[in-house]
Amino acid sequence: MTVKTAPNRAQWLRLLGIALLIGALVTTLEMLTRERIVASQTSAELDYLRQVLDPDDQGAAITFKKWPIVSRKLELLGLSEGDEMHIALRAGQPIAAIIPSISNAGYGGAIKLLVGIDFTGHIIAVRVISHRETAGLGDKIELAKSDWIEAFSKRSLSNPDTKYWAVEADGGIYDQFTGATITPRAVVNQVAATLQFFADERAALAAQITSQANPEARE
Amino acid sequence: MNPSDDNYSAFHGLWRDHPVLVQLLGLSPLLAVTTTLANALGLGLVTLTVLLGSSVTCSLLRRQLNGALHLPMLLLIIAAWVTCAELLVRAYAYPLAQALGIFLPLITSNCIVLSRAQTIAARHPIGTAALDATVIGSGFLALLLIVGAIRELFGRGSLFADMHLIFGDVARDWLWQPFDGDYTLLILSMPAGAFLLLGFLIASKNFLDSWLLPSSESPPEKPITGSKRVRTTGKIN
Ligand SMILES: Cc1cc2nc3c(=O)[nH]c(=O)nc-3n(C[C@H](O)[C@H](O)[C@H](O)COP(=O)(O)O)c2cc1C
Repeated sequence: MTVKTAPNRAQWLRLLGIALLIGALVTTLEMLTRERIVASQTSAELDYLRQVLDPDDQGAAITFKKWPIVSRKLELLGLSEGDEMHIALRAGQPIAAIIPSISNAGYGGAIKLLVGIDFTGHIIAVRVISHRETAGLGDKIELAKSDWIEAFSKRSLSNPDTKYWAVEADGGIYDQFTGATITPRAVVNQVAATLQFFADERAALAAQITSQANPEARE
Repeated sequence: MNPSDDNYSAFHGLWRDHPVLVQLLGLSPLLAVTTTLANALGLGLVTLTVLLGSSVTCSLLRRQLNGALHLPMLLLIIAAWVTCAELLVRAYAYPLAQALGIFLPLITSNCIVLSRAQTIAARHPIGTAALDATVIGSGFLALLLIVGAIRELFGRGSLFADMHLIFGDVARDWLWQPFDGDYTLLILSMPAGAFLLLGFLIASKNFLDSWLLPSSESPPEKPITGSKRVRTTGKIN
């Protein structure tokens, strides 16, 4: 069955013919499905952002705007140059900032969070996007495993006071897990850092967004 | 492995020559993707479709598919079917494509598909090729479902989670959670646990075989013709 002879010209031409035919068919299907795939991607991205918004703010009335994070405090969020956040707007008015934030203090590696904060500085919701914590120990930070992550809702830098923004083991108000303190500590500290970042940027951010929405208002 | 042999029956793919339990092919998707029944079903259905499509295509083109370049041609045909399947899944079930991740395009390198294309489809008429692909694909799908169900039930304490990835919003309340995540066998949700489980399933099949067909009563087995490598577990003549 194994053919030892070298391929001849006719065989190469046949291979070329099959390749061209298949290329044409696959390209056609790609063009036919492109629009739908882009639509699915967009809707998946919207779902991704909406998971940290209020369940009441899910309709088409809410729009999202990509926003560059220009801050010297980028490393506070564990991000790098060029990373972006999103601003959620209702009727042109900013209602929330959706900020990616990465902790490198996890047990198994980076813990990637998505934090939704409203413009009064209160957390709407926090979700874990990806992590490498130990299953059964550190993975209770996932909403699918436990509702622990919901403890951040409605919290702000003054509720609780900054010094209580820690797990109980460190004198704070947030539960740790039995036998696993490192993971929740990393998440709590990262959420606090994200709030701090937003508090520092909020005024400038709000001004920029409104002036961009109504350019004449500036005069 | 050859329909002209007395030994071949298309239906052997379901048990006697099962692609995974006997030939140990397609292990990487089996171990990686079967954390839930939904993922197992998704991957199994796409693999079945690709297998059927590429087998039929290879059978139709079988007069061209010989000579020194037949392997690249077969791979091209399989890769084309996988690409089409991936485009369609991304267009109509985008979250499923996200859940399956790299294992969707990697179906190209699933040796079950290539081995059926090479040994059956490229040498036989379309009916034989289609039947063989359907049986082999169903055998693979059935095993994925068994592994997926056991891993999800005992590794996560649930069944039918994420079924909406395949069946849409109607399936959102199919989730059945008989026990709490704190009482699960965590190892089953990891690839190592899947590997152990597969070992138990292979052992169970061999046990059933020897129990149903005690060697004293079974007719002396004919040596299986063709490559010996097609059988990796069980009795190897
Ligand atoms: C194999 C192994 C995996 C662990 N995984 C985690 C983890 O994912 N998250 C975590 O916080 N602690 C994990 N731990 C435990 C930490 O090493 C540490 O002991 C614990 O976080 C301290 O919590 P405690 O003060 O409540 O005992 C793991 C320990 C072992 C031995």
